[in-house]
This record gives sequence, C-alpha cells and structure tokens, in this order.
Amino acid sequence: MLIDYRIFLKRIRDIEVKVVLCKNNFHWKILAEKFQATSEDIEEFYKESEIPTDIAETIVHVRSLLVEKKAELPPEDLIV
Amino acid sequence: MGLFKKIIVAVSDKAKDELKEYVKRVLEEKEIAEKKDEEVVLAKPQPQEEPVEKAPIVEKTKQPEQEETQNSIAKMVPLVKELPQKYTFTTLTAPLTRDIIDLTQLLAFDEFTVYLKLYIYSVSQRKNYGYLGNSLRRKTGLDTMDHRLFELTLLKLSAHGLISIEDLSSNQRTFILYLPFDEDFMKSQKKKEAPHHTAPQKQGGNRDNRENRERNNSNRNTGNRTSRQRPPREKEDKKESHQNNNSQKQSSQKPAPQKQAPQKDVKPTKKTKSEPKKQTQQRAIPGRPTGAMSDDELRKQYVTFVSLEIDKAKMRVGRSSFDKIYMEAVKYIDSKYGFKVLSDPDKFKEYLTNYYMSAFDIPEFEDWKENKK
Repeated sequence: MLIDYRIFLKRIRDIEVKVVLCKNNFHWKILAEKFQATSEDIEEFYKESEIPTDIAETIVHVRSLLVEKKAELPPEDLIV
Repeated sequence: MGLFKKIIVAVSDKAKDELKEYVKRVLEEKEIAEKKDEEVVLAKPQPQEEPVEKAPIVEKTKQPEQEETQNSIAKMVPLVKELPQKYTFTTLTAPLTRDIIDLTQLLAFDEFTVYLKLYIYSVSQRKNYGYLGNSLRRKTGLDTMDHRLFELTLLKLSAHGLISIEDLSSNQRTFILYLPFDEDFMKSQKKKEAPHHTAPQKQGGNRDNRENRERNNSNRNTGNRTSRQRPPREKEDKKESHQNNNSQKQSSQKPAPQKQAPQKDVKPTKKTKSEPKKQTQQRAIPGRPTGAMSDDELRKQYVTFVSLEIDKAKMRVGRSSFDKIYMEAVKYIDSKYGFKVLSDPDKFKEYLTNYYMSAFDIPEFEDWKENKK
C-alpha cells in the first residue's frame, strides 16, 4: 500500500515537473493524456478508500498547471 | 525553672506576634505596590487602543460615503427615457443641437465634460458607439481624469440614460452614447434594417455591424481575386457607374427635396454612386450564395467568414489582449466542459471558436445565412 502511494505520487509529480518544461502543444497533449491516465489509475486504486490528501492536492495542482500551460501555449487553428 | 519556662514562652509568643505583624505589613505593602502597577498599566494602553478604534471609524465613514454615492446614483432620474441607439454621422461637421444643449445644461460638471468629450469623439468617428477603454480615454483627453471619478461619472451618465455600457468580457466594454436623432446629420442604423428585421435594438445594431463586416469581407475577397476575374467586374462597374451618372444627371435636373441642407446634397449623390457598386460587387463575387447553392458550400463560406472575423478581432483588440482572451477561453472551457475537452483538439477548437464567436459578436450560421439571402 505504501509503495503504491509513493509510486502514484511520483507519477503525478513527474508530470508536474514536465509541465513546467513543456514548450509546445504536442508535448502538452502527451502530458495531458498521461495525467488523465494517472488520475484514473489513482481513482480506481482508491475506489474503496479515500484518496490520500497529498495525492489529491497534487492532482488538483497539476491540473491547474496544465490548464495554465495550455493557455500560455500558442492556440491551434480554429474550426467551426 | 517554671518561671524561666514561662518567661521563654511569653517572649517567644511576643516574637511570633511581632513576626506575624511584620509579615502582614510586608504583604500589605506588596499588594499596594501591585495595585499601583496595575493602575499604571491600565492607564498606559488606553492611548494605544485609540488608533485601533479610529481605523474602523474611518472605514465606517468611507462605507457610508460609498453607500451615499450608490444611493444618489440609484435615485438619479433618467433624463432620457429611450435607450441609446446606434447612429452614424453623415457629415463631419455636426452642430450642437438645441436638444443636446438642453440635456447638457442639466448635468454636473464632470458629467458634462465626459458627455461632451464623448460627443465630440463620436462626431469625429462618425458613430456614437465603440469600445470603452484606455485608448478612448487617451483619444478624448480623459486619461488625465482620475480613473475612479471617470467610472463614477460613467455610472452617473448611464443612470441619466445618456450612455449605455455593455460588458463584452471582463476586459472589453462597449458604449452607445445617447444622441437625439437629427435627420440632417445622422443616420439611424435601426432604420436601415427595419424592412428586413423587426429585432430588438441591440441585435439590430449587431446585425448591422455584421452586414458591414460582410461587405468588408466581400470587398477584401474582391481585392484578393485573380486578375482573370477582375476585368468583367470592372467593366460592369464602369457600365453601371455610367448609367448612374446619367441617372444622377437626370435627377439633378429635377428639383431637390425641400428639407435637405446644401451639405446633404453632396452626400446622397456619393451614396448613389457607391451603392450600385456594392450591389454589382456582391453579384459578381464568385461563390456568393444563390438559391441553388448547397448547404456544404455555404458552410465552407461561413468557416472562412468566421476565421476572417476572428482575425479582424485579433487585429482590433491587439495581440496581448487577444492572448488574455484566449487564456480566459481555456479556463472557461476547462471549468465548463472538463479537462478532457482540452486534450481533445477537435472539441477544444469547436468550443474555442464558439467562445470567440460570442466574445466578438460573430453571427451564428443561421443568422449569417439569413443575412446573406
């Protein structure tokens, strides 16, 4: 259980670091997919019990970082 | 021995009594000293507490002031009952009409200044509406005015009904200045579209803007066409212009309408020249919707129209503000549709375009189609 906790926290924090270094939309998309997969894994793992506060807070933080980064990156072409 | 014992007991008793009295005295003295200290301590902090009490008093005084101003604005009687409408000026020289003088006489100094400055600006821009921002303040010379005072004055003017302010987004605002309609030097935008639509004022104004945009687009399109397509259009234009000139000559021989001023006589002739040109241009634009045009083709046209409109808006608001709008759009999409949409490029683009369309008043497909027809 403790090992799983550490693994999840590390996965999320790795994404956090990479988001800071992200410079284009392609990279951002990969990170967003990773983030989604990780958060889904965490939710599934802690289905029966509550998600630890550390992990929950980090997820929220990384999500806001990703949104901010998306807003900073140049927009792609528009469609109607 | 018995006597000695008694003497010793008596002496020790006396000594005990004296000791007790001494201890009592010492304790009493200590108590008195403590009381004095307490009194001193109580006496000293009072001046320190005063400023703490003063601050809320200042706030209290400020709050009532704000409330008073709000109340005074709420109590203000509207000088004009109608909502301000969008007009365009037909001439550059617009006189101060009697109505405007009567209105401005009733205003306070700040209100009078702001209203008159905006009126002069409107005349120079040939329209009584536009964006309300720092550039407007700079152009009208109102940037030296305190920001709060300016905002307050705008509120007062809107309470009077002399200006209507609309928030497009957190960064953008537009204004419509109230002006009594004067046929001699103004043109109602509402009147233009009256035969087509019976929509409310705001929509009417927007639609008219849209028409202008479409015209601009069509003009831009014509400008970008290849040289093959140009000659026939030019020929048509020339033919039509000749016809118009002939018709104008005929019309100039007829007596002019009584109401129109000498300035006006010049202007309408210009319009008669330009209007047929536009018509011919619109007719000549390849791909212009006709009855037989399919929905897919229209869709394609609409896509280019929207992208052009967004480009124009980008140019209009400037790079930095557009980036801010984009940031807001991303945050809005994330909060409304969830994070998954951000990583789905197709959906994200769709929602982003919708956001821009609502932010920049770009008409939806159906409206655009109706306007085209």
